[in-house]
Amino acid sequence: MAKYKDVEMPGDLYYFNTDNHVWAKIEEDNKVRCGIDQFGQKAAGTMAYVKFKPPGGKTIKGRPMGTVEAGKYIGPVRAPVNGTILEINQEVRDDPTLINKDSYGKGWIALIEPDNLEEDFKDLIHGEENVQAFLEADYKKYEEEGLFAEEEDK
Amino acid sequence: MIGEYPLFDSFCAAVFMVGTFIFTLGLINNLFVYTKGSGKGLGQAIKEGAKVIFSRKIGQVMYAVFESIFHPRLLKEDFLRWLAMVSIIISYVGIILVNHIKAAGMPELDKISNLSLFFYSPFCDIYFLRTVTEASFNTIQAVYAFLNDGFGFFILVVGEGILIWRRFFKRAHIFRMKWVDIFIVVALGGWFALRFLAEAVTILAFNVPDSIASNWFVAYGISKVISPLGLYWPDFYIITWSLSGIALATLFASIPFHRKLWHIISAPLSMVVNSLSEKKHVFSKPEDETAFTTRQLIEIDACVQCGICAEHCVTYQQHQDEHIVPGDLIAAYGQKLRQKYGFFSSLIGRDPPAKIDQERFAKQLYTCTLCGRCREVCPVKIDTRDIRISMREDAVRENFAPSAVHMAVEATKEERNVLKYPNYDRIMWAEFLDDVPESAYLNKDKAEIIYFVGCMTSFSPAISTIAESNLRLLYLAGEDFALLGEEESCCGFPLIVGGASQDWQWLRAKNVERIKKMQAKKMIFNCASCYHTYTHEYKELLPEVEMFHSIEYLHHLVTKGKLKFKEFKAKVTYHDPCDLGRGCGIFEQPREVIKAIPGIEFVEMPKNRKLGTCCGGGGDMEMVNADLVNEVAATLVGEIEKTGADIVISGCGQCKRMIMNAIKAKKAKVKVLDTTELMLEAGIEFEAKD
Repeated sequence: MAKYKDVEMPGDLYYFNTDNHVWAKIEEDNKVRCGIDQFGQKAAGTMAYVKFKPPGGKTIKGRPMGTVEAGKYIGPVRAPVNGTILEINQEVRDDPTLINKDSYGKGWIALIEPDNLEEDFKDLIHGEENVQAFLEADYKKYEEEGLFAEEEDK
Repeated sequence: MIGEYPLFDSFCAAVFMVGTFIFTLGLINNLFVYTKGSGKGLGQAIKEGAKVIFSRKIGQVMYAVFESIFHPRLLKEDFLRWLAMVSIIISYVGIILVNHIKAAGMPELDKISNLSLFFYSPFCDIYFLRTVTEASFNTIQAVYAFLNDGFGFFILVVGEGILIWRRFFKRAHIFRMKWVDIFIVVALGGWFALRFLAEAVTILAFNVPDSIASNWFVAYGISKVISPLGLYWPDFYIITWSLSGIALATLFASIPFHRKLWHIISAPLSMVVNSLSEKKHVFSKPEDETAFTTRQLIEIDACVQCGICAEHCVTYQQHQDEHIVPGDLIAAYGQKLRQKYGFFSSLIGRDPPAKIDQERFAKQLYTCTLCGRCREVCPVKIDTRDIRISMREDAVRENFAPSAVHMAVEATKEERNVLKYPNYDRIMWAEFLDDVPESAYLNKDKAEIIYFVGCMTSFSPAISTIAESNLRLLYLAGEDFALLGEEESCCGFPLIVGGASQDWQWLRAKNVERIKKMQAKKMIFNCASCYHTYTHEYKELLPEVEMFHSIEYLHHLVTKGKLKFKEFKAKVTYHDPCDLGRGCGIFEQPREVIKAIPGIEFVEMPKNRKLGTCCGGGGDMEMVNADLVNEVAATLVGEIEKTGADIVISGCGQCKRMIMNAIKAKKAKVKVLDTTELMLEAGIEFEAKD
């Protein structure tokens, strides 16, 4: 588990380095479950509203598969892979704060059938050391520039 | 020259003359501010002013003059303040006229020029009471005496009395009291108090018969009170009239040098100029001296800090910070402009305001939703919203605007929207529509109607349902319409109100180019701010395109009988969005549309139409103080709850978003919908299109 200050990022997950830090996990039959990581939710603030493409919708890596509105952020959630959405987490639709409360568990967003998992996962950040370095670098940058939602609140 | 005290008589007039000379210097100083501050020469300003004054708008001018004397807006707000103000204005004008007419008819003064007469006229009672006899006294002179003391009595007892009671005893003023406030109260009333005393002393010194003296009813009363003192009154005659002369000269000389006194002149001037000016914001250019127009510079001076703007301000209501309301900011800016552009500053030079002041200004400037309610209640009709936008332009020009404004500018450069949302995904919301084929609204080369969705409605998951309902309605109505899709750019509203006057025109050019290419004849907007921007800033570039808010479109369908309604039982109220209501004058159409649905019980909010309460979401305040925005929205939801309505309708996506947030936070039992959403929820049916 990579950890820096109050943010934890499990090293066994894959991270898509975008504006809102998407995590991805390979599940059985090579399906990909994804969500916003703890760092992303800290930067965005308390999630208020979410909207995601419905099951059956196509995802393109790097392009939005949904939109979130949090205390200090309105923006897209980018898909970590090309593919087709199989399932959307209804609990998160009803209570978006699950993303804040349990980013890697109940706060997952979508289950995707990837088109080319191997190719798409090549540039995702993975492994304890890499994730730790990624987390620390981004954390320091956000702290310096006052980009965390909590920082702005003070 | 006149009578037995020639030196003394001339002394009073001479003192007043000195006061008038100082007044003239101050007047020149202020004219410098109005002309240099707007980057115009005096000649150009006079030429433009003359053009306006001699235009065929005499009716508007006359009404503005009437308003500047009788202040109907102030009467609506507070009867006592109105009484004080009107007593002072009418009495001062009245006493100047009466004194001058009287002085012009006095044989003792007939040898002096008309100009000199002006300086002698406030002291004409010196000669009159000294020389009057029962034989020479007539009815006209009695009327003069009565009016003279009557006007003075009104100023002192009614006007000043109410002012002193409010300021010093009731402490009803929003703004902290300064020494200058005490000076103004003393200066305005002091010269009259001394004049009454001088008249009383004159009555005693020259043994004016009671039958004559009693016509100066105030002075006569005072003479009866002081008579038992048994002083040698001829000595005091000279002293009291001299003091009265000095007091008048001090008052007159001070007028141009403090905004609260200068307001006597600048307020009526501002009301007349405003009545003739086009109600459109003038964007500053980089080469302009300041962001202000001459009209605005006069308006800035017309504010007397009455505090009525604060009483109606949604942000002031939260924390009672006097520094964020127009009255305080305008005073601070007025001071800054005088320091920089006044005649005296140009002679002696002044340092620009310190950096810390700029930071303070910036914070205060952006703690405002630009809802414009203050503009609706300002007794002298100052366009406070327009002035604040110009102040923000000044902040951007001088590089002390909050960083959020610069970030918004940069975001639009990157993604053509201030949220920096990937613009190519602008219509992601449409992917949730499964009942309207994409071919009905996308990838069209031409369309009769363009539905301009706007950034917040496109991107915010909280309100993108408004885009869906608008699109469904247009489809069900059988219209030939299209979206601009990823070609749609921000209309420019957040940059305009943020003060980035030079950074939004390219967005307008992009939108206009696309709209023209699609040969659209009409445009429909669901966002009140986009609609406001298009109708105010795009219309001249798209003269052939008719622009409708979705409410106007629905209203058109309702009045033409194109819609069939099913019964929909609900208690409904309507929130007037600021940019749609106060900004564009759309108040009645939404109410008529809602009331057209059978089964709906319509209730008004406690504050509605021109005085409707802002949701907190406007004026870029969310960029700089999101917490305050939520507090303002909570106040609005409190007002909605008071109506007992099940549903509140709004004509603006951003308002809906703010209200939704506050409902969620307060756990209020009310639902917020856009008008188009209400229509679909109510289950409308369309008549076949002709």
